[in-house]
Amino acid sequence: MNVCVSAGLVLWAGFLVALAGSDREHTSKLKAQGAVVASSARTLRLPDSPYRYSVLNLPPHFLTSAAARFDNTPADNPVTDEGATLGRVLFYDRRLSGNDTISCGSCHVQSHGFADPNRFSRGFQGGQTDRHGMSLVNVRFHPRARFFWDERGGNLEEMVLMPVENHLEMGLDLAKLPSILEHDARYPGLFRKAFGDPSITNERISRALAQFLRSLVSYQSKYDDGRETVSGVSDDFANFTAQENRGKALFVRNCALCHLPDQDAHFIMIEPVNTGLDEDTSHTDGGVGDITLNPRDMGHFKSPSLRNVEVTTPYMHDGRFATLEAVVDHYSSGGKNHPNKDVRIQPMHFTDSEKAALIAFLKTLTDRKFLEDPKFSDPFE
Amino acid sequence: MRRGLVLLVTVICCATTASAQNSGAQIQTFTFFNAASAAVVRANPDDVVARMMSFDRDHDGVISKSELPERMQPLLMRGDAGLDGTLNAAEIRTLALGTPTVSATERGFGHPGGYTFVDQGEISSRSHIEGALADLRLDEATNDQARAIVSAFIEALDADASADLLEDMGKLLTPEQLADFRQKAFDRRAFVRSIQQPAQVILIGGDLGRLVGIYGLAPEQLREAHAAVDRFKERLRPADEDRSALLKQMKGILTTEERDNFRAALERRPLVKAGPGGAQVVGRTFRGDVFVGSQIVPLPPARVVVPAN
Repeated sequence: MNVCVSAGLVLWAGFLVALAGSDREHTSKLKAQGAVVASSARTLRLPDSPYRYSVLNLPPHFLTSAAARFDNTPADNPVTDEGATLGRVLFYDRRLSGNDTISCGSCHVQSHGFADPNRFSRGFQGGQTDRHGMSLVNVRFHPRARFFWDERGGNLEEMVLMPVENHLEMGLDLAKLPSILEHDARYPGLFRKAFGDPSITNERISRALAQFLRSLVSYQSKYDDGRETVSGVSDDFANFTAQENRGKALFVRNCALCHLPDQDAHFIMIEPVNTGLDEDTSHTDGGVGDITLNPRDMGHFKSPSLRNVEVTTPYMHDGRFATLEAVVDHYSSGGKNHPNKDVRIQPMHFTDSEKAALIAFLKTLTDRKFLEDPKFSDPFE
Repeated sequence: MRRGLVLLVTVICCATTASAQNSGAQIQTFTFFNAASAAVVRANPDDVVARMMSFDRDHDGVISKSELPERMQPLLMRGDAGLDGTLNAAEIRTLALGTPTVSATERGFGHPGGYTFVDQGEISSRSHIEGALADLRLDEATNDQARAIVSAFIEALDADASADLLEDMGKLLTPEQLADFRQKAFDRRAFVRSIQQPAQVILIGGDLGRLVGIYGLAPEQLREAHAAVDRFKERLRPADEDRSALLKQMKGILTTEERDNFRAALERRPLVKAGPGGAQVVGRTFRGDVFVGSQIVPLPPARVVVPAN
């Protein structure tokens, strides 16, 4: 009898596994046909009270008038706790891909500073992108509010759905997205909390995703702790080692003109630049130039924030550098002679001890609290 | 203490002479021509055509939608004048020629909003050399010894450059003109704007190239005067032999590794931001407490040493 029961359970389990597999296929087919899809089997775990996304306890160097000007939050889409919560759920929901296999969070991994740890990203059907999935850390503080390595995305609200509908990346027909979410009983409530009523539209989806991305603010690194204790970034930080302070001094003197422009909080570059990665203009990625066809934009690329750069490896638009050492070596050499190479890229000829100090400093930008903060983690189980 | 006074970077470069009003004083910004800007090579429409035609996988001479990465496919909508669903070389060239002559993202050398070398200015290399030393993070006793040598070195360098300039100009100007030149050439001001922290520092001074033009010199004399100014600017920068002499004096004070690091730092050419057309950002002081409020402050006296009559 017990044997019969066990055998029956095994058969039933096998049937369920087979059903799950066929269910995924079925879901894909339904999506392809524009049909509605039943609720995801994944369990959603959200706190009873939403995490605080809207109010940040930013340190003073983020609050200066110069630093505040970097914030690209539009007046009509401020970060709210409920909006960013919805954005977080959407960010990790695999149903935003054409076959339920990947989410935004599949390539933008929290522990890697929301960058892809792989050189190139895998799309929903296994295809490989030709660029590295860039870090999303502090995208809120890019004043030009243009995104992707080639800046083709006009603002976060516009940018967030572009990978979703990209035929290589997530491959979902956006026209079907609202109905897919409408048929998950959990979403109408989340939309109601975020926007006042349960109506689900792509505009609201993009606004919620943008809110979540703007909530990804890293401000609790060793650098931030040290910066709070001194009057200026050039002063030695008491919490730094001698090597870190030396690296900071070298950074401020040689790198800050580009990477810490006119303030001490946002380690970003204002404009995309050509850093002399390639000499060839014809067969290498043209970056911004491939979008504008402006000769002077050829080989220009946006740069992500250096915050958490220790964990956002590999580096550059094509992930060609696996280590920070390789990146520093590139800038130390002055790069290759592309005709559009930025004038700021000059040979630095850093000594070995200078390189080590620079890298030690860059590692002080790692923010473990941010990288492990549950409010940014995958809410699905 | 030192950092409270020494301005970290101090050059301004702008296309036109402009002025800024502060505390009732008229402040002339100075302009200089940067030869490097004229030599800049940029990609051109031919490069764009070559780049785009590299996508022509079937070698049929046109680019179809399927040959382009998805991110570039909107180019077809922009440029397909023949409405055949492809882009040919002529259509690509038309697109490239239709773009602005200056990229929205480009910040050219010496252009407003761009960058320039600190040493292209007419100022002492003091901040660069002292900064290179400070970055070594030496212990106090070693730093004091090294700074004394550096300070004497810079003062000698500046005095040498200034003396040569005045000697050269003395051959071209009358005594009265020379006295006027001396006063105007070395009477500089730092304009500090602390609208934001860290305070931005702007060095304002007479443009020597323009200054020599006010004395009615004959064309040949004017050329000589400009050459003298160029030599002055060049002399303010430590040459290879100057650096070697300085490093030699550091033997016994700095370790071999520290001297290697010091040498590497001295050989770099710091860049600063050029202003978009007026009195602009040229640097920043990180001692905001020293420079609170907009005000004109005199330059540190050791910046340019004017020889006695």
